[in-house]
Amino acid sequence: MFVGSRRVVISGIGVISSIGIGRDAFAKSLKEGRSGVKPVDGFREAGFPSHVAGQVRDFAPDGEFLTLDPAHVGRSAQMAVCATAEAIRDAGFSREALRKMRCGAVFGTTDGECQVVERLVCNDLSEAPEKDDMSPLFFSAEAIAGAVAAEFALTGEAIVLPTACAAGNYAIGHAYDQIRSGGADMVVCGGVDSLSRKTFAGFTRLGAVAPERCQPFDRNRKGIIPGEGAAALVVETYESARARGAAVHAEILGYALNCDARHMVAPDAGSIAHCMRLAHARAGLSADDVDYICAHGTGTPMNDVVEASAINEVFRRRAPVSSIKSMIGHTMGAASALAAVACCAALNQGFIPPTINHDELDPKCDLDCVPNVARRQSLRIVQNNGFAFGGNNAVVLFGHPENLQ
Amino acid sequence: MTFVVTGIGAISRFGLSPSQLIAGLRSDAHEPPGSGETPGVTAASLHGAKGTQFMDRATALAVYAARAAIEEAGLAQESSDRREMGLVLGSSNGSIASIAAMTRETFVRTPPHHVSAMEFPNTVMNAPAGQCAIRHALRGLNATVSAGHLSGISALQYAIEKLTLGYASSLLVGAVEEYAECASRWRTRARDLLASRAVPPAEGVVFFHLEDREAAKAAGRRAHFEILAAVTGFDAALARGGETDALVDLARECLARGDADVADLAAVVIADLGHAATDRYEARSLDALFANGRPRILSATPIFGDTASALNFFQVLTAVATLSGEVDECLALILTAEPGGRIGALLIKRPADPAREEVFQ
Repeated sequence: MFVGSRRVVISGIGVISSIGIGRDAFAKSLKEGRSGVKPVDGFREAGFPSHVAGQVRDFAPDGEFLTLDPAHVGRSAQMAVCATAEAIRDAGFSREALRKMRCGAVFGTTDGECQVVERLVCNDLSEAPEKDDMSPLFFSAEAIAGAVAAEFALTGEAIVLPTACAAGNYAIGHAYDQIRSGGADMVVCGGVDSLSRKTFAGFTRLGAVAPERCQPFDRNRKGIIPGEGAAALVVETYESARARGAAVHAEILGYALNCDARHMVAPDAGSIAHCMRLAHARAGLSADDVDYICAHGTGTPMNDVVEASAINEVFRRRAPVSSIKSMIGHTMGAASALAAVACCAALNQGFIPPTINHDELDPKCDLDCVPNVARRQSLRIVQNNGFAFGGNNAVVLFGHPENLQ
Repeated sequence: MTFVVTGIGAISRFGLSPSQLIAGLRSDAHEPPGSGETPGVTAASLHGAKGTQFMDRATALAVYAARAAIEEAGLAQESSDRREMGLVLGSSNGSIASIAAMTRETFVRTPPHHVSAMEFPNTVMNAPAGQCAIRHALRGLNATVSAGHLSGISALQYAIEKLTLGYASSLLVGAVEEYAECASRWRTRARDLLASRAVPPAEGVVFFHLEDREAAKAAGRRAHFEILAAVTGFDAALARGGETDALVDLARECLARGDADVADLAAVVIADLGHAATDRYEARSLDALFANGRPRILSATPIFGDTASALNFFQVLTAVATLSGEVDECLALILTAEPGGRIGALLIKRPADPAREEVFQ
């Protein structure tokens, strides 16, 4: 196993989100501070007290499927395949070129193919169940990476990391390791989740869903707004991207994972602070080097206080911190992958995405949360936070591509 | 670096310990595998009634086997080693029974969000790994790897890479599959759609304590066996029911990484999942690999049933049981092809040290 000092970069990006399909549309919406939160069809009638979500509305997968039948995969796989198609085009790969390399597919998720499970459960409840429904072939979470590998005829590892709401960062970190260790020539990684009725209900039951909008770090924040979407990132060595003449969106500088090992749903500030310090150490940086933190920032009363206190424990210099969940809601396993795309846009276009819906800062979240309006600022190093149920923490650091040589 | 297994925990159809599993495998008299939950095994039977009212089945299995592996490695006491220890769990969906049950609740309850708040955390797929960390105070990296029938080799590949790159000094690596009535029905329907042989959906869990050989030696922990290499890949042709040499190439790569040759192998354990396409694919790969004479070929699914995420770990223990009859140092290869297109190979070595077998007595 080669363990060297190869520089690992992101050379392709694909996005499916409630504020835009495609990398550029997503970045433009981030800069404009747009919200993708709207009422979910049927949820009010079903009796959900809060019934808005960051749902992806104008998504048609057919055009990107050249091998598989999109009807024979779930919605999460559809979004992962379409985001991947954009990412490999963006990186300048042809489908033929990928077949000659060892390419892996690594996706994070919270709820996998939850809408396929919903279909199976409804079928089981039905008095006249559908006999030839193909859903049993693709309800399981690993089918997401399987669909990406099958559609693009990839030959490397095809895995899903279902580490809940930190899963996107887990996938990016693992892709980084695969490239560093020589386990793959290229890895398409990211995160994906479809809107899950079960998870919507569960968070509602916990009193953690806001009625109308997500307001991270605001004094009057009321909780998360569930969302959905996908982001795919092409990860490879700097040398291979340069040899192809591909534009580099960011360098992955390092990452860290740890576990609170205390509580399934309540986060732990000390453990999160430790994870940030581990990530800085692994990237060979100090907190003072970080110019912007793309927060986990869910908008629940407890989580934001815990994250803010962990940040203030680690950071002596006050770096701006914002949460794109204010715009797209909590996209679960896609969240830190979409946030990574936001980090790339911030590094390349010199702006910090805002925390929208902000009225008044919670004094218990003593942060510069970039309220409501994007800020023009050139950035050299940014940090992406992802925290999850199960106490799974993942922090990734990205650098500006111009620092590469 | 060479990685060794210095602790094992397992729940299988043969019982609650690795030694029962090995004894069951050695006996030729065992019945064909059945479907359903392991008889007598519940969260309360494994962990007592206190604190298990809302514990899901996958978590109950995983927490038990993880503790067994920790204890067998001699790490039951809280120590600096324990605090840095991480956990990697192969599991396709965590507790699918919990996920399906709560999904069902949202359709039959009015209002739909009147689901059990206590059981909601069981429906995230990393719940078994997170609960293992809580119950055993494991604050290192904590990952769940979902790769269908390749979840085990994928978890070991992930773990070996993280140990090599220095993210952890030792890892508990395991795989779990709970028996769930809904998933059993769906998997049986999937077999019908693929026109496959009927194989009973089954459950089980295995955990290994995995660490660097020199670190184990320095700490006085004895190695049961070494994991020399783990490689997974994907073959889009297999996903369409076709045949290629991809698994042959992967097996050779795995052998090369372990500095071994096909002629060195004492045994091969295949999956033998009962799908026409994958069975043909595995058989063809064996023909290509062993044109000049075969080692012992064993298969896991006919013994354990379809253990899904846990399959690869049961293949490894099948190989370990087979090698334990040998006197000298010897090697075994695990090979698996699944209908979705994933393929994998794993190489293990049993050292020529009789002390290693105490756990299996």
